[in-house]
Parts: sequence; structure tokens; C-alpha cells
Amino acid sequence: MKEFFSNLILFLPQFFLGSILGMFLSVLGIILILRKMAFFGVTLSQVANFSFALSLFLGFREESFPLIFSVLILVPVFYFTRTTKSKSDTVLGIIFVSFGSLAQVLLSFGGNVQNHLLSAYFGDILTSEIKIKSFMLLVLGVNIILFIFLYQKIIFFSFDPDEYKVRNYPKYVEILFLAIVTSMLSISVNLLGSFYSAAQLIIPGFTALYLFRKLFLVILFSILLSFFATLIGFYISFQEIHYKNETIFLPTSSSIVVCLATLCLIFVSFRKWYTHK
Amino acid sequence: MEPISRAIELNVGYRKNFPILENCNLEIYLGEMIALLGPNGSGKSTLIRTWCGLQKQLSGKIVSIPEVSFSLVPQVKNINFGFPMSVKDTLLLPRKAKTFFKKVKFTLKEEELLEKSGITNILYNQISQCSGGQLQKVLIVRSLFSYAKIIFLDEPMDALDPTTTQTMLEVLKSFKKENQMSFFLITHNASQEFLDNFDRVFEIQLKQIVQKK
Repeated sequence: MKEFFSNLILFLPQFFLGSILGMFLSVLGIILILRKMAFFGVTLSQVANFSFALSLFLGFREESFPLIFSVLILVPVFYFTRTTKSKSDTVLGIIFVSFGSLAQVLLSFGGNVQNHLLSAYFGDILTSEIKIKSFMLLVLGVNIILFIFLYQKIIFFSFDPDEYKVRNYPKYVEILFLAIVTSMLSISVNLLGSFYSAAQLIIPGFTALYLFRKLFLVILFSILLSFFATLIGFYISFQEIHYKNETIFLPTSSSIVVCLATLCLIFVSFRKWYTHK
Repeated sequence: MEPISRAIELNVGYRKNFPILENCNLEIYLGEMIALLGPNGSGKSTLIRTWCGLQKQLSGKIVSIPEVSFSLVPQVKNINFGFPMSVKDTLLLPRKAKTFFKKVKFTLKEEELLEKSGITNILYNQISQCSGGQLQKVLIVRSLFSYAKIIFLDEPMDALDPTTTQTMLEVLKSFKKENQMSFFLITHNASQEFLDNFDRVFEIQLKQIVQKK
């Protein structure tokens, strides 16, 4: 345990960023789930993935480019899913596979495709050179403040969008909320991979909504679950595993996702068992 | 008296050359209760959604005085009641959305209305635990608390038993009197006893609005 904490201190910036991003994504995810937009969130992670690949392809090394691309792509994607006559989950499925594949195609131009792909999908929080740049912190900070400021409006809009519009509440709230989700996903995909981002977006919120009926408790539990899964995931990835005469370390982002899924399974099973008892 | 809102030559529907309701000319005056009858699919909900600004009219226009404000009581099935919120949270949410984490509460008059509507005893229940009728009452009261000048109600009494329907009609009437507001209600209940509560009654027949009372 002592060794774990000394390792954790070594990777404190990564842990700090991973947990803050995860916790914030888990809160945003609750609203997406309640609005039955979970798949939209997962699709956005592929859009962010594509933006990350596009920035690499165009040679834009600044972190701001994937974020700007993601937000720019969000508007037509959102408009398209809302105005199409087909079912939106069908359209989202098409966007998901298209942007995922496009990202792969673009990444293949950069050489060393496998590493890039692994990094884009699963993240490499420990191995890559993570610098908590002021730009990312600024976006994270602004988004959190904006979300807190708009929280009640977002809840009202999500609960009853028609009445929200009829009463003439600000119309920009929905697009601003989606811009917050997209920009956070963009940063998260860039640093931690799209699987980690999508998992943090959906699993804690789903588990919390399954267990609790008060929004405050749902949010609190979701944040705690996200944090502890990140902590356990880091712990697991620091452990040496001896397998077939080799020493291996499990990948951090994927370990966190597996932890999240396992904790979700445990809590949901416990709740089912408890209610049937 | 001048109407506070009026529909002029209004055509509503979803496809440009196929209006489901044609040449609708209708005025809403302050302090009146209007009922609109019509078979399923005749365009009643589309008319009020258009009037509220939720969808565009195919042609014609809606003119309202500047001070007018709207509220809509939707059909229960259109609301996401899986939200982890209590009845109290649901009623206060629109008010909370206007403030920044400022504590909001009911006025004494509002508490009386909650009592009259039979909501006080379910105030702390989760909305997911409420029956269809209880949810309907919550939505009606939430709209009343908006103090909008015109409240559109889309089949608000359908999930209510006759006694509760009469109670809610009394609540609407007393609230209207105290706060100078108008109600535009869609219903399938064509009984004389029910329609007697309204100042004017309209019916949709062959894509046209016809005044019955």
C-alpha cells in the first residue's frame, strides 16, 4: 500500500486529471441517461476521437484543436439526429461507426497506427507525457462553473423541454449543455481514450440511478463511484502481474473501466437481491 | 374587450400542403375558460403546440399582446417521470431555474391551493411513485404556479375520477378569478355537466373549428 501511494504521488497530475474528468463526466452522464441520450453521449466520444485523429492528421499539436473540432462537429450531428425522419438511435449508430472508422483511417496516415489507435480508444494515461496544460484546466474550470450556474435550467429543460420552451426560458441552454459534454469528452478522449470517457459517462450514472431516487444522492453516489473506480483502477495498474514468466502491468484506463463495470454489477446485483428479499 | 391572443387564418399540421386544421380563427380573452373538443387526430394538440410556439404554423398567424405569457399542461405520457425528483421539487423546479441556488418556497396562497388539490400529502413522494391521476394534478398545479396569462391544458382531466375532476375545475376557476388568467383546455369529455364549467366551447369538425357554446 505504501508503494502504491508513493507511485500515486509520482502520477498525481494524471490521477488528479483522470478523477476530476471522470467525476464530472459521470454527473453529465446522469443527465444524458435521464434524457435517454446515453447513446448520443457514446457517439459523441467517437466524434471526439475523430477530432483527435483529425488534429493529428492536420499536424495541429495544440490541445485546443480537437476540442474546437469536436464542438464544431457537434452542431451538425445534433441537428441531423433531431431533424431526421429515421429513429435517432439508428442515425447515431451510423455516426458512431462512421466517425470511429474515419478516426482509424486518419490515424493510419500518421504511421505507428496500432499505438495511436490503442491510445485513442483505451488511452495511455501513465505512459504518455501528460501535461496538465493551463488551457485544459481553463476549459475544465469554465465548464464546471458553467454547469453549476446552469444546473437548475438544465434539469428543468431535461425534465420537460416543452414547458421550458413555452415559458420562454433561455434557448441556448441545451446547446450549451451539449457543448460542455462534447468539450469534456474531447479532453477526456485526448488524454484517457474514448472507452474510458464513454464508461465514465454512462456507468456511474446508471448505477446511481438504479440505487437512488433523489437527484442529490444520485449525483453524490455517481461522483464517489467514479472516484473510487479511478483509485482502484490506478492501484491495479501499479501492481506487477507475473504471467507466463513475464511481468506485466495492466493498462490504467481499461482497468478503471473494468472496475467501474464490476462495481456497477455488484451494486445492481445487491439492489436486486435486496429488493427480492 | 380586446383579446389577449388570437389565431388568424391559422393552418396547422406537419406537412405543408396537408393541414390537419384549416383557417382557424379564434380569440382568447383574459379571464375566460375555453374547452376544445374533437376526435383523436383532429389536430387539437397540434393547435395548442403551435399556439405555444412549440411548432411552426403552416400559414396564418398568432398575435398576442406583449404582456402575455403561456404555460402548457402536457399529457402525462409526454413527461419523463423516471426523473429522481419529489413532487415538491417538480413544482418548484421552474422557479429554481430562474434563480441561482436561491431557496424558493410556496406562498401561503399556494400552500392553500396544494391542500385544496390534494397534493399536500404527496408533496414529498417521488414522482415515479405517483399514480397517473396524481401526476396530472401535479402538472396542472405546476402550470398554475407559473401565473401565466394563458394556460393550455392538453387532456388534463383524462386520468382523474369525476370527483377529482370537479375539484380541479373548482381550483382552476378560483385561481383564474384571483389571478386574471385564461384557460384553454382540450378534452374528450362532452358531457353537459362538464362543459357547463366553460365560458366558450369549440369543436373540431372536418378540419374546422366550430363554436358550440
